[in-house]
Parts: sequence; C-alpha cells; structure tokens
Amino acid sequence: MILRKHILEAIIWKEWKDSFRNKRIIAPVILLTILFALVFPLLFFQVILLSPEEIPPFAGQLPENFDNILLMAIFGMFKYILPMFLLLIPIITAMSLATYSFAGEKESKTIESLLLIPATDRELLLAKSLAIFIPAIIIGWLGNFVYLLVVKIVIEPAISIWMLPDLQYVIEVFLLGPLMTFLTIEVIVLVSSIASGIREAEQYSGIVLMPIIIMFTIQISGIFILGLLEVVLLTAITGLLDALLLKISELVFNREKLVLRLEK
Amino acid sequence: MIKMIRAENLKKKFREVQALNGISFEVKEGEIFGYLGPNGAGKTTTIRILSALIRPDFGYAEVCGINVQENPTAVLENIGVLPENNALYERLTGRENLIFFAKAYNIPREEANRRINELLKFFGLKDRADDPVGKYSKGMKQRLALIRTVLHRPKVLLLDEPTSGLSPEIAIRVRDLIKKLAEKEDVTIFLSTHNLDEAERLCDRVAVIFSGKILLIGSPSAMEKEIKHVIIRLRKISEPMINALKEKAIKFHISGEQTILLEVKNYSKEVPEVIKILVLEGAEILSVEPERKSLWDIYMEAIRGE
Repeated sequence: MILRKHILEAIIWKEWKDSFRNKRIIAPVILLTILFALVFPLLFFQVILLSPEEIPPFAGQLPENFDNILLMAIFGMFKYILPMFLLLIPIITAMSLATYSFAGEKESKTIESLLLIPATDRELLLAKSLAIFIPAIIIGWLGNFVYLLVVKIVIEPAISIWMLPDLQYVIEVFLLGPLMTFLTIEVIVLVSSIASGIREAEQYSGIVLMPIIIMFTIQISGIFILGLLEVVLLTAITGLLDALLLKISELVFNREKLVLRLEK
Repeated sequence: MIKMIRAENLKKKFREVQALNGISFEVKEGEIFGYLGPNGAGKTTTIRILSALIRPDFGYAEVCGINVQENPTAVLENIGVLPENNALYERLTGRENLIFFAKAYNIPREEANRRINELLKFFGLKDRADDPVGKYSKGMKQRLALIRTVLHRPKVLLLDEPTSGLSPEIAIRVRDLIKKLAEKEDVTIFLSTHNLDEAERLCDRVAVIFSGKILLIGSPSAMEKEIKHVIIRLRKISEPMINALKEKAIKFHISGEQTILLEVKNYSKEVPEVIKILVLEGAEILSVEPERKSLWDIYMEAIRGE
C-alpha cells in the first residue's frame, strides 16, 4: 500500500498546530527538559561534592584505575546513570503528545472528522505517530545537547576525565531513545483504543515509564550498571517490541469502535 | 438519471439494538433527499455506513457508483460529510481548519486559498476566519463545518442534522445556505433531520425512517396532495342531515354549528354523493374545500402505524 505524502503532511501539520498551542502539553515538556538536562545534573554534582560517601557502591563496575571514591561517583553518575535518565525526556514528551493526540481527539469528538478524510488506517496511524515522534526526538536531543554542555563545561574540567560522548551514549541517544519513544507511542495508540479520555489514557500509559524507572533505580542503588553490551541488547529488544506493537496497533485500529465510543 | 447513492437491505445491530433493519433507498443525481425520523431512528447509523465509518452487518451500500465497503477511501474522496457534532479543531483558527482539509484532499495551495476565501465570504465568515474556532458561536461553527464539507467540491453531501441545536434564526440561515449551496455547487444532498419544516422546505424527496425501517418514500409535494379531509360549510347543520349521513355509513365529524369534516378515500366519488344527501335534506352549502395532508400528518400517521 502506497503512503500518500499529502495525507501524511496534512495530518502532521494539523497535529503540530494543535499540540503546540496547548499549554498543558508544552509547559510540562519545557519544564521537564530543563529539570532533567540542566537542573538535576548540576544538583547531583553538588550533592556528590558535598557527601561522596552517600554515593552508591559503583566500585566493582568501574575502571580499575579508579581509587578515588569521589571521582568514581561522578564518573558513574554522569557517564552511566544520568544519560539513561535523560531517555525520559523524549518518552514523557511523546506520552504527553500522544495522549492528547489520540484520546484527546476522542474526548473533543474531532476523531469523526479526522476519520472522514480520505486516508487509510495505515496513513492515519503513521502520520499521527510521526507527528509525535519527530518533536519528541528533537526535544530529547536538545535535552542531551544541554546535558553534554553541562558535562563538558562543568563536570569534565572538574575531574579532568573525558567521559562523553562515547559509543554507548551515542547508541542511547540515537537508537535506544528513538526506539523507546516509538514504543511509547505504539503503547498509547493501543491504550487509547480502550481509554475513553485523556486522563484514562495517561493512567494506562504510565506503565511505559516503569521499565525506565526500574532501570534507573537499579543503577542508582549500585546493584547493576548498564554497560555497552546491555545497552545494545536493550536496543535490540526495544526494536523487536516496536515492530511487534506496530503490527498489533494496525490490527487493533478500528474506525467503528473509535466512532461508537464517542457516544459513550 | 444517475443514482448517486444506493442502499440495499442495510442491517446493523449494536448489541441488542437493531439500529437498521433492512433499509433500501436510492438518491438521484442533483437531488436533495431528506431522511426524516425521530432521534434513535437510525439516521446517523445510515450516514456512518454511507461514509465508511462503520460496516453494515448485512446489505450493500454504494456512493457515486463506488462500493462503500470495498473502496472506502475512494468514497471519502467523493463525498463531504457534516457529522452531527461539527467536529472542528477548537485551537485552530477557522482558516486553519479549512487548510487542513484542503491539504488532506490534495487541493493545490493557490486553488485552496481562492476556494477558502470564496466560501468564507459566501458563508459570512470572512471577518472571523483568523480567530480560533473555540471563540466561535454555535451557528458560526456550523457554517464553518459546512464549508469544510464542500471545500473539495464533493459530488455528494451527507448532512447529519445540520440545524440541530441552532437557534431558529440561525437554523433558517443555515437552511437557506444549504439551498443556495445545492444550486451553486450542483451536488446531491442526503439530509438527515428530525425537522419536518426543514425537510419540506429543502427536499425533493423524503424517506421517513423509524426504528431502523423506512416507512415511506416520496416527494413532500406528492405526499401532501393526499387529502386529509373535506371541509363542508353549511348555513346550519340539522339532525336529519346527520342521520342521513350516518345511514349511508359515511365517516365524518361535526365542528361547531356549520362545519362538517368529511373523511374521504375517493374524493371524486364520495364528495358529490355526500353533497347530494345534504342538499336532499335541505342543506344550504356555503363552501366545499378539501384539506390536504401536511408532511407532519403523513409523518405522524407513518410512525403511529408502526
């Protein structure tokens, strides 16, 4: 089935016009990016400097020449833990945009006019997904750029060690992040078909955040640190899940159910 | 005459409710076809089947000669649908709402701008085109939704209760616009309504739908030719006149001292006979007038008969 460019462009144009005028979407996204990419890293840095003994026991998993606990703590935090934490920026942005995009159309009853344009199910799903994916990824990269500036200007000069970017970080930013963001969108497409409104969709879609929060908690507690191999594996698994969910969301997408739910 | 819409034995059930129970009708090119029925009769379900939003459980639907179930995208390219709620994007301006649909229908930018401006002017929305739709009144939203419906010059319009919820003066304006639009754009219109006056004023033919079944189809003018009763005014009605009519088993009602309302099936045969009886009983006849059925009478008779 050929995807028609004008249909994709029209839906993406409409989605961006509509979403970026919605303060309920834009305000939390901007706040979140500033907090995660700028405020938290600087705050963590200050906490480590003030009380390095409170930092998790990374010793067993860091380079052998690390005998200084302070250096170890900064290195572990900024090279491994915070980049993983930054994955939350595109994911939460996508969550915010997607719940308004799908469940929001149902809530405001505009879904009927959207379904009346001559688009196939695949074109509708893809256009809506791209309209969320593109800004979420750009905001995610912007967050990482700010974070890299913090690392390069504040952290690395303080400890005189090159940390970022490395291959693992590049994979996280350019592969794992986008794949996880896409996964989030697909989950919300599925969730939106059963949720009747934005609030309900938000509650269901919170489940997407769980694996990231668990990974973050495990790492910060010092139990385990994700190295290059683990990140590559995680990226591959996410990619597979993306493909699977894309297929499922296409099968689950049902115009009749979407329209009839408007009456409930 | 080309048939622009064809529905054959459409059936649709939602859980326990039989929304459509064997609907069949045809709409000819250029016709305004009224789909008249109370709320819950099956009007919206029919429009949703014709616009490929839902699939019938049974039956066949064709719009512009295209099978709706087999080729929904081609159908959507040829029709304009006004849903029951106007379904506009409230954060977008009126113009932006229209641009979105122009893009979706692949109308070249210059042509789209020209068409949008022309329609905004025609519908009296040009001055408010760049305001967010959220700030529009209900009537303005409905007019904008109508523009969106005709923007891509569809061959068929499916309008679901276009004046529902509007104040009487705005409803009249929207009705006038639909009438003018039908002339200007040369389209076939399928108009669902529960407003008899609207159907009578706008439609070439109407179908009365009730509980998922079409009870009758015809043109309002032909339907209204049917005689409801004959009003016979006399100088004075007397007891022998009443008895004489009763003897001949004629159905009638007395209204006041001068008027007899006669129920007739065959005007040319029954009325002269009644006049003869009355004259023989000494009646002085002042006038004889047939009262024709209104669409309301026909509609109510059809629904009560169900």
